[in-house]
Amino acid sequence: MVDIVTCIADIWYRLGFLNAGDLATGGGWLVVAELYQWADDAAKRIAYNSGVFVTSDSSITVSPGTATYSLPATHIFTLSAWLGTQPLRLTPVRVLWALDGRWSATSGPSTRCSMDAGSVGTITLYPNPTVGGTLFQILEEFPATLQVGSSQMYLPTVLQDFFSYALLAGARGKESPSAMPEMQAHFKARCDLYEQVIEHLFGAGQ
Amino acid sequence: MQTVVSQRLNEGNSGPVFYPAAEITAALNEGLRFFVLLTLGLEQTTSWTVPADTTFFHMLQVTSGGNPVFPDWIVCLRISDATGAKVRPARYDDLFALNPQWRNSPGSPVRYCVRGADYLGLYQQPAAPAVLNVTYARGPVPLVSGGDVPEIPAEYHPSALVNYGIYRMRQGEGAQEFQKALPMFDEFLKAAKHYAAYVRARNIGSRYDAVPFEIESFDTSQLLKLRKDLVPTARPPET
Repeated sequence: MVDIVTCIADIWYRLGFLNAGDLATGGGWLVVAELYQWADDAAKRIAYNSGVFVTSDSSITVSPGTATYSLPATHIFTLSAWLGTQPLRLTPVRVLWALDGRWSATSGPSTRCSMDAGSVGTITLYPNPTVGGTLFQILEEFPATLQVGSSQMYLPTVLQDFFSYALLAGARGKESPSAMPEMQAHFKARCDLYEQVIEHLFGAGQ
Repeated sequence: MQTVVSQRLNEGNSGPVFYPAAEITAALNEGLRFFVLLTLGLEQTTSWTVPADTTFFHMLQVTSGGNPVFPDWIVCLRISDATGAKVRPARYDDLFALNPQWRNSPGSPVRYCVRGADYLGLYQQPAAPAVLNVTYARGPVPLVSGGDVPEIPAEYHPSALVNYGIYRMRQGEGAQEFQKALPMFDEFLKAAKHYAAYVRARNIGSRYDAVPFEIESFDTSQLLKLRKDLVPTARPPET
């Protein structure tokens, strides 16, 4: 479990504040909400680039006659999908055209799904389903927005320092009296190293 | 070890003034976490009772009696069943090729698939709770007091942790002061490379399913020296 509250407690000294309370009550050049924004940016970056946040979703109910459904708001990419117990093969739309020149009008039990046949943020089933059910997906997603009161992510604790360095890079790169561009560049390089380790251990994103 | 870092920061015998002891401990803990992440040098085997008829698990959220089973999880190294037989790693494509209905296939677990940081799928799913032995790379136990001994091998305590502690304490200062501490971070990385090579060879020999990151593959040129165009310099004398 990684908690941004812990990361903030870990960086006040390096940012030149007297203590955590000094940072929280406003040192003038930095407010805590900004730190959460940088943490959120970092979380989204590793979510897209490394696919560390993988989960399952069964929130979509498929109705007969409707082929296209909106994906969850946090969805990045579907790794696997099933309609009920029927596995759906991920298929690009160009392959659907090659398979069936009238694919969009073909009906039957769905056996394939496409992420690019509909608009961005939708999944399209092929053939147009005649049988409904629950669409079960394993998907990469990004976590809920990090902010005060919503600061935790299910990640290995050793990754806590990745977020600390993302906060430090943001703070030292911000245009302010306390800007340290040379340190921002170093902290950014530390984040790059963490991201490569994350990609090695947990896989590349889609 | 906190004392050593404090002394090398020239705090003297009267105790830390400019570099608080709590921050030194935090620096050593950060170095310890980073060393373990780079080397996967700590591992643990835990007995896990898999609930019946369940395919997917978030390993960081698995609990037993209200307590997390894998609170210090980093990455899976090996899973074996109660008889010692290996549950082999697979990708989703492999599982679909084995059995299109793999998600709902009752039987003894013979394959597993991990995606993301901790999302583990099992094929097949036991009809009754079954015991699996999970070997995983784990995070370190944090240092709390000055007498605590880091879990990594003692040969790396000075070269990795003490150096990292000094480097990290100098981060607040920036510029040339920080630049002086960068060779210490280089020493830390060299120590991590050395131990990671050992762990990698050992993991390959043990047929583990994960090996440490190759630090050599990362371009450290931006990491081990400060950009000269960004370091503040003295104003040239007026003529």
